[in-house]
Amino acid sequence: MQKKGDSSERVAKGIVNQLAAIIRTSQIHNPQNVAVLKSVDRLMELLTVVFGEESAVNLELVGEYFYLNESRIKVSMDQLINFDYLVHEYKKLGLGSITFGNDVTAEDIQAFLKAYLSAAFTDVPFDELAMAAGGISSISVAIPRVEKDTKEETDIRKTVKATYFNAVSYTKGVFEKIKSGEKANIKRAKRAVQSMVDVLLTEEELLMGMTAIKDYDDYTYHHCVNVSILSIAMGQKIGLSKSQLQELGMVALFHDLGKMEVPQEVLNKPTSFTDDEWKIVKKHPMWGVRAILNMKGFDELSIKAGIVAFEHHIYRDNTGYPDRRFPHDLDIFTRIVSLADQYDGMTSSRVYSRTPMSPEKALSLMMERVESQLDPRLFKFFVNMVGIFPVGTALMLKSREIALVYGANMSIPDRPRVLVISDTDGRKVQGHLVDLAEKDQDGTFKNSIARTLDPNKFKINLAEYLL
Amino acid sequence: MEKTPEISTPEGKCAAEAIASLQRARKNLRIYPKNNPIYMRTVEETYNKTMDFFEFGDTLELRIQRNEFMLGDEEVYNGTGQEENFALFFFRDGIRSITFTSELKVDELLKFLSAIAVDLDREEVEEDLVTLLWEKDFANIKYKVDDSVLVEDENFQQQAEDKARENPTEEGVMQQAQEAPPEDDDFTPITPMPVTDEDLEILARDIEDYGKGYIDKLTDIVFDMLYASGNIDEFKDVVRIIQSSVEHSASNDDLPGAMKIFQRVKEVVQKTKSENVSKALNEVLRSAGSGSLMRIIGSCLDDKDGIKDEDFKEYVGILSTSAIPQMIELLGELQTIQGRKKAIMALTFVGKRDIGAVSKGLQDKRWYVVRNIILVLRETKHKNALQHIVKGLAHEEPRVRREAIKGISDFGGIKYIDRLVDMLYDEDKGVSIAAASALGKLRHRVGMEALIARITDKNLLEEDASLLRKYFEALSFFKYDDVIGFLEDILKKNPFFGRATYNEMKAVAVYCLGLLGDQRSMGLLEELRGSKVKQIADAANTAIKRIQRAKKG
Repeated sequence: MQKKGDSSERVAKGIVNQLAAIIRTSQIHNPQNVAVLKSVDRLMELLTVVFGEESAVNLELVGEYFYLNESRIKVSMDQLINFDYLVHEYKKLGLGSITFGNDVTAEDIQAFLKAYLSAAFTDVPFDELAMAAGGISSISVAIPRVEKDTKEETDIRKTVKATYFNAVSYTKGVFEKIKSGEKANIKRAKRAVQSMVDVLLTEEELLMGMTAIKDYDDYTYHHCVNVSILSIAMGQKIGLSKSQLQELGMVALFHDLGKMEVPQEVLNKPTSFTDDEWKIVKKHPMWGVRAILNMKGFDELSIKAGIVAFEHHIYRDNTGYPDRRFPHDLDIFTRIVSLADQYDGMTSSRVYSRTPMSPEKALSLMMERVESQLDPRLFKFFVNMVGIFPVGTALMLKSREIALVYGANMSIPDRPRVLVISDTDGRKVQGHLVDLAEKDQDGTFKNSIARTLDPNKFKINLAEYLL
Repeated sequence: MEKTPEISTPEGKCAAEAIASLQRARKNLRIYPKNNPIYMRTVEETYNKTMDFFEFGDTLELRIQRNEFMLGDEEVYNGTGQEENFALFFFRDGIRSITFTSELKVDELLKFLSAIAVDLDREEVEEDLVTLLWEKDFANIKYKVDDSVLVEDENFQQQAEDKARENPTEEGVMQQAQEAPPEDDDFTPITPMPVTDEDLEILARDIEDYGKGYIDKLTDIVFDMLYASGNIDEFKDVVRIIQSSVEHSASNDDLPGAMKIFQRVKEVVQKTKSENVSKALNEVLRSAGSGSLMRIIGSCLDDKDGIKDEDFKEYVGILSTSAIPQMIELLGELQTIQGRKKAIMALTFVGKRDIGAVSKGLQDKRWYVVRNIILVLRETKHKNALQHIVKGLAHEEPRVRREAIKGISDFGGIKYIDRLVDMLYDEDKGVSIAAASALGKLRHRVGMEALIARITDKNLLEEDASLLRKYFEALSFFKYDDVIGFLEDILKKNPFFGRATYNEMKAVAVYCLGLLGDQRSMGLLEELRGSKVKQIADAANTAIKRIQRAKKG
């Protein structure tokens, strides 16, 4: 039975791959080209497998994920490029889904391709495609599903917030319990991380928005959760399995556990550290190893978490801390957590660094450090994930409205979805969502970014809009 | 008091049966192993009961309350007062509904059943039902969870939100932002970064490699921490971690991993000038022989492919004599011959350094442990071992006595020859034979005389004639004229009564002459070759050939 499940997953992935290959190849060659025809035949074979059990194949894009007949298709590393390509194509055409009926033929697919290619270069590609493909009865297209209604949206927001604060509250509890010599509850950590993984699969923007708010108390606990969320999101982008995401989320959540041993007066010091204070702070990775192993005992997960806790301030070029007599390569999980840690740390008003950086400035600085400190490949994924204008970036639009970035646009990175928070005269408005990729009827973008702003400089309270 | 819900609808009854079946399955899966027919039948029946519901619709959605399962508005299960409240089992972890869809597969249901069968109340279980179900990643079983059951501080969220909103954006700020000149920042805005096939390949490899050699890595880290310890408390903490690393390696059948850690500890001990460091780390080395580690090693030894010879030898090399009691205990617990052989080898190696500690194993209540301890004492070849081996002669188990006799023989224990003579009369045939053989090997006149006395014991032939051959074999070790004379006397006698039995003795005596190989016996043997008693004639023939062969070379 398991084999059957595996094979249907393979077929689903295959359909995405072949469809991407057909579109890509036909954009270079003619749809009658042998390579295209071969891919069409392969797609037909895969569709036929599904028709054995279903009357139609519906390939829908929801958020950044494809669903085949409502089952989410897991992305694996080797297929990431084709998946991303097809996501981009769907978004470019404003497509929500393509449905193949079980009477579809290879000729129908070729006719659809022709319609697709001609529609892609028009100003209203989806309408053109729908019209041109209207004559093909076995293939239909649909726009993305209607956005959730307000109540549903409110419920989702509540769930996301509860997930986030539950994780922070748990983390705070762990720190406090360990400090007072009590045993921490690992079941709860798993629950918190599993919830974050689930929420990230469907409501990535909302949860990432929570990490962008930096006005909370208890920096360390929020930071641990933020790093966990950013790491899981990264893990998703590079194709980690659900159980790997859980593990990554757990090790990230505990990466700074050693900080609980840093005296509060040092940790909360409003000015820069003295050399002696730095010496103490630099011990937290080692204290983290000890705390994790004492808390959880020796098993594979605690050891891996200990490794990440130890390594997360060690850089690619072996600089950073702690000093090592026995250097070894850094784990991929460490490298992910390091990225998330640096980004969240730079953009937060940490007690020992009172001036937080704007997200895009933090990314720029991280870019400078890529060769020496960070993994350049993972950094690419990180940038593509948070967007060149990460969530929470304050912008002035060409319309002079002030806006906050709400969600990245993978297809057109410099045109994120934004929350407009002032009108053109600078009056505060209740935030409303605007997609900067939206065009007028004449095909020009309705609005664009004029420049970025530093929300800290103008004391724009992100929580007011993103919470 | 138990409550039974009144179910009026057919779908309600069907759902109730499915629930009862799930509850039964939970119990049976805990009791029976996977290959048991009841286990397999339970899974099949539960699957069928669940699938029966789909005659009424594509989904079976059960809402869960503290004591009830609800199908729509109908109560289909009530656990009030029941020994095991099945609804509460789900409810307590926050599960508020479970939905099975008609596409449900047997193996998916089996995964579900395996999850609910886990004894979640055990302290070492780091899961609750929700985390277990989540890890199964079901396609056709969905469940809704209320995470608020986990919230310890109900006010936390509100307080955090209030704090975050504490300083709202002031009116006029936006205008300031609009009017402010562009920032003169010295950073370059980032641009999109396309991911290449090579990037993906390398990352895929990194993901595949993730976790490999994680114990080695931890070892590096722990030793880094050891050198960086700022005070003795920190140092001791790290030493404890090292200790646990060793146990973790061993419990994961990674003896080489554990060995690497011990080797590194040894290196530090050799380099350090601090007594405290040396003392603490020597504790780690001593722990190589701890009972817990020894048990883990034991399970590897019993497993045919569990442990490589070279790894085990390396392990034994670091054991100190303080490990001997645990090694003796291990010897008693091992289940396989190959395991025991390795343990004996190890105990022999370590035991040479403390024979007294090994000899304590002679007090073990298990006879086979005592026998193996004697074997170990024999193998040590240590001069002090014999005095302990001798104690085995008094053991009630013949196999122990035999082993002790062999030990005395190995050590040439003339001092204990009288004890060996006594053992010739042991009620156990094997012990007596072993004693005879030992006396033969000692080649002492006392032994010879004892053997002759035993052979000529008139009761012997009646007791067990088969012993004769062994005694004569032992006698053949004595190249004394007395022995030849004794044998010739036997051969010349012709008793009237019991002739047949006596002929048997004669044949064995002839055989013994052959073993002795003395040329002077050839005349007598030639004569006996013509004996009418075939048994004697054949024996003489063989003896002659043996002597001739010995002469040739």
